Amino acid sequence: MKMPLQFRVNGEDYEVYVEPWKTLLEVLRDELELTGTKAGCLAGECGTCTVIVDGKAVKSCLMLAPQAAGREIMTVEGLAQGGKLHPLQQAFIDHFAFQCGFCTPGMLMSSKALLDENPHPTADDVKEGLYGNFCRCTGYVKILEAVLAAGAKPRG
Amino acid sequence: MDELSTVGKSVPRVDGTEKVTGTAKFTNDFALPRMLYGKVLRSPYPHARIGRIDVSQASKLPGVKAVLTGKDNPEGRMGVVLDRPIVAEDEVRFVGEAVALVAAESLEVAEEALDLIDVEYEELPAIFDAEEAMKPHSEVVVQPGHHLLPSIPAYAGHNISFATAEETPNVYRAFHIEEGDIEQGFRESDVVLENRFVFTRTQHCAMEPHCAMARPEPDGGFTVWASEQHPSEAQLFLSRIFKLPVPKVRVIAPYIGGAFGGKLFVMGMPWAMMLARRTGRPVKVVYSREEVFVDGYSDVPVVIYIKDGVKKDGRLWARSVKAVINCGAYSGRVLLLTGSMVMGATVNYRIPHFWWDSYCVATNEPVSGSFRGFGGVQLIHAVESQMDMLARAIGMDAYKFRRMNLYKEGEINLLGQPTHAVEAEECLDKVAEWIGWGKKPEKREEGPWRIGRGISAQGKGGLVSPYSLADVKVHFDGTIEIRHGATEVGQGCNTILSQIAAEEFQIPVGKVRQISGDTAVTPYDITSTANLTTFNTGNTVRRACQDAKRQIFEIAAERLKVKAEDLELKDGLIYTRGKTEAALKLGDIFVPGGGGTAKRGEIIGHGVYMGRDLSKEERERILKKFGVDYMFCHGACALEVAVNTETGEVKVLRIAQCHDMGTPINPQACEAQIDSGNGFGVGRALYEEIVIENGVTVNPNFVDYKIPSMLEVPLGAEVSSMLPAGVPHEDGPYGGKGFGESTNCGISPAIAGALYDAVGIRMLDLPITRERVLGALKARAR
Repeated sequence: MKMPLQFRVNGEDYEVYVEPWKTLLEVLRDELELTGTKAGCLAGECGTCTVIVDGKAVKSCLMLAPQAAGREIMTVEGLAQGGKLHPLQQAFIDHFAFQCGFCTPGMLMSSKALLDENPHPTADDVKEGLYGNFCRCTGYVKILEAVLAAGAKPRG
Repeated sequence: MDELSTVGKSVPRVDGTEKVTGTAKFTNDFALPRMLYGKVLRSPYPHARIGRIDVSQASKLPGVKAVLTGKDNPEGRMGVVLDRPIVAEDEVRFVGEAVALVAAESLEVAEEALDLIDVEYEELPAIFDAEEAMKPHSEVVVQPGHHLLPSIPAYAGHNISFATAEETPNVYRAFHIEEGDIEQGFRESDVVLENRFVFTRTQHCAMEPHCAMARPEPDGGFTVWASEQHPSEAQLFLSRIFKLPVPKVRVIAPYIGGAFGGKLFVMGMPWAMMLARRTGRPVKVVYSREEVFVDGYSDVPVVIYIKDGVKKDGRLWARSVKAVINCGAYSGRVLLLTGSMVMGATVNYRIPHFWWDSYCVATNEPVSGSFRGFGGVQLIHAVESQMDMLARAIGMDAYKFRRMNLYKEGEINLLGQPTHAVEAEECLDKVAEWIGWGKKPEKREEGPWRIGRGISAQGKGGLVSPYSLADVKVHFDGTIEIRHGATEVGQGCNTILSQIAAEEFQIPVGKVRQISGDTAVTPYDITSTANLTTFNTGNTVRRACQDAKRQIFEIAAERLKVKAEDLELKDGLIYTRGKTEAALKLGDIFVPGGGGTAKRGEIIGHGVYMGRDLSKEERERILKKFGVDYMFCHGACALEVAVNTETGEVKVLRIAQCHDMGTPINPQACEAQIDSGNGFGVGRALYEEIVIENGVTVNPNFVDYKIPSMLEVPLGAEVSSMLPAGVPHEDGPYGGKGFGESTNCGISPAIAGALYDAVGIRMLDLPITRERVLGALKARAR
């Protein structure tokens, strides 16, 4: 039995019909075809599916789609505005903070949620904010550099 | 050489924008109209005869479109030795082996259908311990008649020698190398030290789970999208398996979300094709994380016996190694590892007397595969731990002892190949200096924590003969298109190859477009593995560029009435050498409006690279000894750890690595590769271990199998990923060579050494978990 679901994703309103047991991740990827958000473990362990829900980083594989009703969601596709990369995205490029790129969308969304709450984080803040996102390629060295660099820039 | 414009510069990665905006497509990001979802029913037994399989209930479930078993198998099998049935036939040989396949309208229905398949099993005795399984006349034989099976042609030249099958039927391969007289070597040594090292199974844990999607084509062929590191070989494999003409199988490898050796021969491809063939619809098979742990070709468990002899003055004098490799139920790629592993003991240190035996042994554990380092992690851990203990035994400093035994430029190594573009000494010096080797750490203890330092050196190559092809197409507007069969697994090959092509054509990197990993258009490449892509595909792309330029110059020379060798090309303009004004625009040699040239049609340069030029005799000598002629890379690691004497916890506080790579094509991307090894190395050293009990993988998830997060690796100022001066490799593209696999091989022995320095306990086996450290501390206290 499908149920209607209304929510806002990357600034656009959506109404979709989904089975209530579908996760937010499945709805984003399969219904909205926003495949930037990745599926790495489907158990909330790896962080590749992280999106922002009402300002908080959420592992979308653990949120049932109906829980997203009426809420404001941002995925990696919503980061760049008007064709201009978000400072975090630019920092990830400038600092070689991605390799295979599979963890990158989740890593960016966790970083965005962190910077929104704490615009100028310390290294320890970043570690605390991102330890739920695994990366197997970078050893995290350049990810930390990139997030600190984005956080060091004046905001606004 | 003239000043280079692009090579040697840290240009931003060409895949950057795609990867930070979520537009980079991985296999699972594709979906096709009328696509079905494939799932695999897996064996719960490590060894059993399959009786009746009842699929009637599963087939009746609404939404199920096909249920297939081993009876529906295509003719061919998978593996370096063609030994793994696509779906198990009469027997299952490991827990997790495919027994049936389902295709359904949704993933949920496919999963539900798996539960409705009824399989009768008759359990058979199983064997899990490789040392047990390799004994003569083993009662349990994993695959009788294995020695009679063919191996795939691409590896026919790899010196795969089979052991005597009658007496040791579970030994799939044995590999032997020797030099000097080992017994004499030990007799002449002042100190002899012998140890046994045990390594458990680990997973690559690429963030992207394996995925394959197959679409049946109207001509009876298939298009297969897959997270596959080796699309060229996959095409040949699949065409053989399904008895199809080669071009009827098109394999496309989109971006790959990490591979590390674990995405070769992805089984999902033939499963998806079987289901697509039966249903006539596209089928996608995505592995769950649990399936990746169980059947994702994890790294091999190995037991290494190593015996070393050393002279009092510090010269390594004799080394013998016996490695017993648990290959699991089928050959996978581990047959090759049996030879590959030897590099960790033969290309770094001078040893007059050497003896090597390795055995690849079948057991009823899941199939093992290749893993970043291809045996190097295990062997280098054993060798470098021995180096520490030997130095101590003769009262020498561990750094100096290593340094004096390193091969120097031009020396012939134990594989009979020259040491070249080696900067091992400089690497070792740089890491030693950074960590402050020889000086005392600021603190030796704090509360329950004890601080210690360790160091290691490592040398490696790759067990793949260079062989790759590439094409370069030149467009009238000055842009070029390179077509290569390498895959962007994260290592940055598309950037490196773009830089090489941009340098050849003197254009910005942005004017190079790549088409990669699509067998319909991209030429053969022997794999994106084994430190190979920069060296192998890099050379090939460069040659293809030069071929294209030659064609351009020939046409232009005729037009300009000059000699072709007097022409130069820079950013779409053709110059006569020495002149500052362009003689022609590149577009001028094309038919107006673009397309191609009047005389030669499209300008497409072809490149091929098959290794350095050797005389027939020299090549035969090298191939006979080792099977592969290749380049070697060397590096070093130094680090500092803190050990908690109350909990056994080990933290890596600071880490430095330095690796030789010839001329670095993109220094910052190279640094990133070194950083990359830190995460892998720390995880392998301290946490990672697939636990298998009676054949069952008991921890197939990220909660019970820990990989490092940001909290477990040193970061910021605590990390130094260094490049040495950069001695160009004479056969590398612009002097570059590969090194990515070495960066995770030297960390565990340095950690073990640092642990010894901190608390005086020597951990031989990996991983060095808290429990094991605490156990060792308690045992010593007793």
